[in-house]
Amino acid sequence: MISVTAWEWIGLFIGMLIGGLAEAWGISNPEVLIRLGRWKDRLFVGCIAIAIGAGALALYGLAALGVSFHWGVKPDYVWGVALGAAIFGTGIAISGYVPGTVWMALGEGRRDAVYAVLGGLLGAASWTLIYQTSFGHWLVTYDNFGQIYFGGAVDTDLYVGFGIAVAWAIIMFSVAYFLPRYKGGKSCAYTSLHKERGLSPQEESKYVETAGMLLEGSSMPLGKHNLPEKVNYHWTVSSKLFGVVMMSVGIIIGLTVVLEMFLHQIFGESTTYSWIVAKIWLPAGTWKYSTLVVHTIGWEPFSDIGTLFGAFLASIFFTRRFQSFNNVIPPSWEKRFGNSQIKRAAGAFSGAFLMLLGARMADGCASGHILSGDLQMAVSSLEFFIVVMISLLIVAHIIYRKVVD
Amino acid sequence: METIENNEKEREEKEPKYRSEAGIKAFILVMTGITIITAALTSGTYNGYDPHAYSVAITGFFVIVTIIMTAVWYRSKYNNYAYNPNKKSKR
Repeated sequence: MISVTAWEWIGLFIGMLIGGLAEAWGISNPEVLIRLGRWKDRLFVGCIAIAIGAGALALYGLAALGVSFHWGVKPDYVWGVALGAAIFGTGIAISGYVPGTVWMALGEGRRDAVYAVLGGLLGAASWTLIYQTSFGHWLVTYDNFGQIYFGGAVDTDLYVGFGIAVAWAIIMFSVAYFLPRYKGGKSCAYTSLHKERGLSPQEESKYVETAGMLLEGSSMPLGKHNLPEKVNYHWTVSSKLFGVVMMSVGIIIGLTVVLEMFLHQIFGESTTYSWIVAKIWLPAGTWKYSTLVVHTIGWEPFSDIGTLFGAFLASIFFTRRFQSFNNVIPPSWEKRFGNSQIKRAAGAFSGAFLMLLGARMADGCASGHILSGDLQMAVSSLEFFIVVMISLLIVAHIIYRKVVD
Repeated sequence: METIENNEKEREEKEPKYRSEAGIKAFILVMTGITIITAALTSGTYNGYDPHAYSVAITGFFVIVTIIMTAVWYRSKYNNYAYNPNKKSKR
């Protein structure tokens, strides 16, 4: 059995890698997740499906060969996970953020991320308070089936697990292949496998509009004939390169999460908010949830700092999207609520509050459940992902249905 | 590709002239090194599940200082420039 437990500060590098890639991909921009909620841009689903498929194959293949992992599968307490996921999806629709992208956006110098961090801390503190009550206890204990994956209890029947992982990966790759990024277009997986295919004029204008949206508010000129121009206008837009780049990013992220599980723990981003709350406000020993958090968090604060710093470095050296805290309001939000900074700050704060409350209630977020958990084929994480998507689509439809692009 | 090329040209017309950024980039690289060394020295070989709060705090502090200094530098260097894709070009 090959087993490793890495030093905590090594988490910095894992976070930097994922934060840098995700910033280049554009997910630190809240408009990307708002458009996902409006079902206008499904790149997130395609990329995450590639990461999950590639990661599941690597994880269960290596585990079956005798490699030891720090599994950390999230327990499936059915009602608590479902309620947390519904609140989480609502928070994403309002703020455009998930816990990890708040850190990335802060690294990219986005002003509304400052309010999102504060809202997130209050949301995490609220769950620490609720956990102490009989309702909180009920949520995490009633119908709790423990740490289970599609093949049974965690870290058992690994050959069966690998067989299921093959089927799971086929499903995920099919989603990535058949789900187009934009209505009437093709997916990045399809594009990378059909290099002769050109973009239709409508698709091309969509990609160009997306490139402009991602660059909006940048405090630094992009320049010409350099790497950042290639990244913004060709690697993420051109049909010849875009598919390959996005496929590669998905695969690298999936394999990095597997590496993290081998070295220390799963990739998560939201526990750090509860850990900060435990250190500055609701101390362990007095508050049960804080006690639980400080004894299980591991290197996550370092990997979160790495996520923030990786996104910052990518936005300076790679994409030149660093905003220097300029006033930038996501286009969908602006069309719905106007260009008031106060309204946007309130939206980012309240959305992040709900998002972190939901994440801590369900014991994970987009990183811990949707990326790491679905890659592990955890039952709780599949439930979380489904409920989050339903909640996000419904709430985003209610909020942005009158927005005309 | 014509739409993409036209869009690139439009953006170039809106942007301020590119100026030397060697100083700030050197600062960022030095701070990156300081951040990593700080995390390594203060956390050491600890691999448990309750991280040292002071180690996380000082590492995060250096990162935040780096980001704020960079933001101030770019704002002053390019006179509070912010790219707006919907703004008409100067020509």
